[in-house]
Amino acid sequence: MIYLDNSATTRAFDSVAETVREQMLERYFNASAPYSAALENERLFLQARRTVSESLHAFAEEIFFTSGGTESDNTALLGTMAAAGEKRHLIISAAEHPAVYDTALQLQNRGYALCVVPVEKDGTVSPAKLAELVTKDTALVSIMHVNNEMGAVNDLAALSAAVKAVNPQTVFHSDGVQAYLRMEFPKDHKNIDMYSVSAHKIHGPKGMGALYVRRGTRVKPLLYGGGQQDNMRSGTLNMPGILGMAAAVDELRRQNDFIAGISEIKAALAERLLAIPDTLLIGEMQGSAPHILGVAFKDIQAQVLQNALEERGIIIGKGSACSSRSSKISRVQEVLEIPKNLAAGTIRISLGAFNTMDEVEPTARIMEETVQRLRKFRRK
Amino acid sequence: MQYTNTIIVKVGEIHLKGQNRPFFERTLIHNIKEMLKDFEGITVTICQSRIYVYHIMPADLQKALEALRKVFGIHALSPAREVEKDMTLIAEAAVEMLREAGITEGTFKVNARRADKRFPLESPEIAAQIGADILSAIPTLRVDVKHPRHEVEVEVREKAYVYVEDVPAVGGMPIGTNGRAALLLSGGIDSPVAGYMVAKRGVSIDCVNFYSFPHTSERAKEKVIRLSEILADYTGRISLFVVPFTKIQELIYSKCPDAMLTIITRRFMMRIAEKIAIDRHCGALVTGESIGQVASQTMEGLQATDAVVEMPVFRPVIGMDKQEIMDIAEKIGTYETSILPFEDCCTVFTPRHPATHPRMPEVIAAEQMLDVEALVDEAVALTERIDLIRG
Repeated sequence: MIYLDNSATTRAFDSVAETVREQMLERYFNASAPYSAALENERLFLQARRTVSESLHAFAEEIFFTSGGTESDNTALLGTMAAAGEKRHLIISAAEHPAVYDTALQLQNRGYALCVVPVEKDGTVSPAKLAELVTKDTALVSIMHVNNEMGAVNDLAALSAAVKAVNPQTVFHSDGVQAYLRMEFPKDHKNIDMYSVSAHKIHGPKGMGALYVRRGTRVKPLLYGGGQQDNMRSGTLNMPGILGMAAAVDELRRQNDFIAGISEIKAALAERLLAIPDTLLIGEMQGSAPHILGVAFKDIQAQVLQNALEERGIIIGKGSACSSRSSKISRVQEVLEIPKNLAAGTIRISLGAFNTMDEVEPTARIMEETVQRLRKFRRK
Repeated sequence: MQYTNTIIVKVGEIHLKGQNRPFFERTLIHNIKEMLKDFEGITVTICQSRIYVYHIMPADLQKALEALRKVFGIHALSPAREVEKDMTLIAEAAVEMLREAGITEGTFKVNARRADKRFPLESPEIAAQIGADILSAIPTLRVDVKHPRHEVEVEVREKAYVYVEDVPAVGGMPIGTNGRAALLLSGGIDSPVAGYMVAKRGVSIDCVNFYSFPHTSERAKEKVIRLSEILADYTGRISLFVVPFTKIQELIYSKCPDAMLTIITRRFMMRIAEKIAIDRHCGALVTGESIGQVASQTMEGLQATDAVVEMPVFRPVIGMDKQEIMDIAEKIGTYETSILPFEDCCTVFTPRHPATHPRMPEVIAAEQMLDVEALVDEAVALTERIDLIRG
């Protein structure tokens, strides 16, 4: 099987599975308990937190482990607005993942003022247009790092600087779930206050993520209870998840040529696929994420192509995998004004650490054959 | 107070069946036992055309009632309490049950039946004494033997049984008493309802679904399996036949005139379904068609599809509006699954302007582009069978 849906989820690294197994069967002690077996787990926890914090150029105490990207995003939005007092305005982009978008709509329902900044034709947010929306009442801006449907990359350094230039008090959050470790975290991140990441997109366990919260950022917790993680995220530490995530971060960071490798695969695939007649690249190659390739085929139903490819051993994604149960054209496709006969045939190829150059040729060949075959049965 | 529950099952139309009654009753008892096979220690017997389900633990009563409400052939259910044959215990049970059912005002009467003739009191005496005991415990009730609002039933048999209310059940005839039919099951709202309606008349159901992978997805198939399982909750078991339909649909698309696609597709479905139905000893086909709902469901469309089969075609929702069908789908529990957004093969190749009044000579001419018999035989031969049982 050739698996090209890594933005939906990834196969875990063997080292991750081994770490999780060991935590479940051998080191199952509650890291907060007083006995020595537990103490060892606390050490492992601190080490894992350091691993993740280093990957984000952050201090260890600025990392809070969560149940995944969705919880991290919810904490960032709900927690920031709850702590913002009189300021009741927030801004998100039109291309946000539902974990941000729908949470922002919930806030709007509760009486907060929401502005949605549109995205440009290339799928990115313009710093100038964003800055225009910021006011003295703006408590939070949330702009995703990499778009999950087309791989467009936002310039977080420029966007956060533009926001802070208008209102230095505004908290800048970014959903980094699709970017984490597949894009360099911005060297200039002094204006980024919060950043959400997820473990299962980087070959770690599902149900595991983290939220970076810069020191001094005011945010209220989502969950109350035992007061773990400095009262920011109560609940017994999910040690299999946390150590599994750290193991994935470790292994991916050790692979020096990982980003260059997937970039090369993406370029080779794009070249072959775009040679198929009546095919459109979604977004741009230049400056887009190295692992996401969006392609639209005219007169094809993405679902049918996905089915047909699976029959031949190739798994691809379409639209946003999280909402693949809905047959509507996605919000992002609408925003990008992709023509209707192409939008229905938009697929997403996303790469991970297990993909190789050897997969390019059979993938391209089988996709071309399948597209040509299916086009004979165009919907009327 | 220590007691177990009994459910008294009241049958509907079986009463009308004359000489065949024992057959209908045996079948119903078999279906009830099947439905309750996971409940430990219960026994099912029949006495004077009432079916008794004995020894239900109080904690299981609601679950047992829910299960029996889905058995076709049952008209109503009376949850009864089983106590020793002692007038004090009987009265206590009656008072407690009235209170639990919230019956503390209005009029009532007690009906007593003494099947155990060794019991010292006769039926009218039992009724009078229990009635008096109830009145003294719940003085806000009044007795009215002519037109009571509530009736308390007391039966004295090997034990005494007390019940105060009837729970309506689904009605119909016991599954297995009226033959077998093959339901053309799509993923939509109508066909599961049609299958339910025919099954309710005691007909065993097989389902036939047409699967056009990759034009329809694995999830569409899952959906049809789920719908069959929901129907099996009522019928006990269902065999689902999944017909590979891709080749036929693609050929029709490539070779036949656009306007005819739908009608020719429907005719293939009917031919294939009939072959499977004959093999399964079915007496009829069932579809979820309703006049005028979509282009193929016009009078001429239905005629053109009926023309290719000899078996009778039952269309129980033929005269119903969409809303009426949806209401039944909600009631029987298929609606939520039916509206899942996975395309089924009926809509994959819908032409822009389908023929609503197809003329037979044109349909037949269009079909001559295809080797109909060979395609039908091949599809039947490659059909996958999935057996589903309740639960």
